[in-house]
Amino acid sequence: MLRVPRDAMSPRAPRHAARRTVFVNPRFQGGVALCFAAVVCAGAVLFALSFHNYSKSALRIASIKGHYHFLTPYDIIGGALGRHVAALSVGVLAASLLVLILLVRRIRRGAERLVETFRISMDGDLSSPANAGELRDIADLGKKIDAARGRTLSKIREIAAEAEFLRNEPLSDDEFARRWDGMKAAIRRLAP
Amino acid sequence: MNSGMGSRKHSVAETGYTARIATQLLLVIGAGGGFLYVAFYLIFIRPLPGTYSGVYFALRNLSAFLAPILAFSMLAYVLVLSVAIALISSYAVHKIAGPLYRMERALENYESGHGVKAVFLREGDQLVPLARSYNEFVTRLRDDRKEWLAAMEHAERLCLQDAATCRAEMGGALSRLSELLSRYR
Repeated sequence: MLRVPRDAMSPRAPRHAARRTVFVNPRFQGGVALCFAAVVCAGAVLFALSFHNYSKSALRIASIKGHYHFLTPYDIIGGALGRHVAALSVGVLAASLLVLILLVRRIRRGAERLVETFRISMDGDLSSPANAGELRDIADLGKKIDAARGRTLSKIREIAAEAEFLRNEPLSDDEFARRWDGMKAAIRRLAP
Repeated sequence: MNSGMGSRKHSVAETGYTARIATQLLLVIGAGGGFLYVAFYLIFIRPLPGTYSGVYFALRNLSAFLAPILAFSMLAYVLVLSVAIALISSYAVHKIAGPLYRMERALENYESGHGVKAVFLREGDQLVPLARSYNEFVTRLRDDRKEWLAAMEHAERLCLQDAATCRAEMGGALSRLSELLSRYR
């Protein structure tokens, strides 16, 4: 468990940390659930077709051999039933795991791009796009991060332009003091 | 509680998290297969009549009714298994959807002009490195901001002397500020 120093970002942060976020994202969670449901559905259809074809012919063949001693239909198709159910379970499990691995890989790639975006932002690069477009929700977050970085960069450029203006233009003391204070206020508004 | 800042290494989606979902899928799909087998076993275990004609007609009837039996069984299997897997996957993905939501709220807070708060995640949430990198980015920006303000306030302190020194110091502070700001591109 990680703990943040009390003064790491905000003195009130630990109190907020205890709050639980109850949030459901129908598009994201529903999409994933639908992927798994499609896998189960496909497996069930394949099972039904295969087992139906086998059992129908096995039962018909057995019916004309009725002089043999069959106690139950299970004696005729029990083995095939076991094999088919095992194949269904293994197939659905394998396909579900594949879906899970692909999903986790896409999430991991997208999130790593976002992490990288914040890292390059710390080095001063606020203009390179995140390009986290693997999953829609992560791509949307990437666009929001890009927008926030872009606005931060434009504020920084405005401050830089104002600093250059103050440095190079011959202004009266009053005007200089007014713009100096304005620039300080603009700096204070950056990530307050 | 997971914070966005700490020394312990977290991957974006931990291996244990994936393994837990895989194990839950294994159990649910295994149980689904087991119940399906038992259901068919109970259908097919009913004894056949003892006569040749009885066996013939019973097997023919069973063959004819096999399609609806299979359709009903597989529909039940799909519904039950899909609902169970949907619950598992929704709960598992909640550990990713929640942090994404938190990050969206954090970005809104970042742009609102109000005090920027750190992102904290719940115990077991994924995407911890994302929250950590956001917190580090904001911390770095604030450190830079403090440095810019410090350069300006240093010049202001020297304004207690004469006006010419004040203006010269402020000019120096502006040069320093331009230099500091130039790293952002």
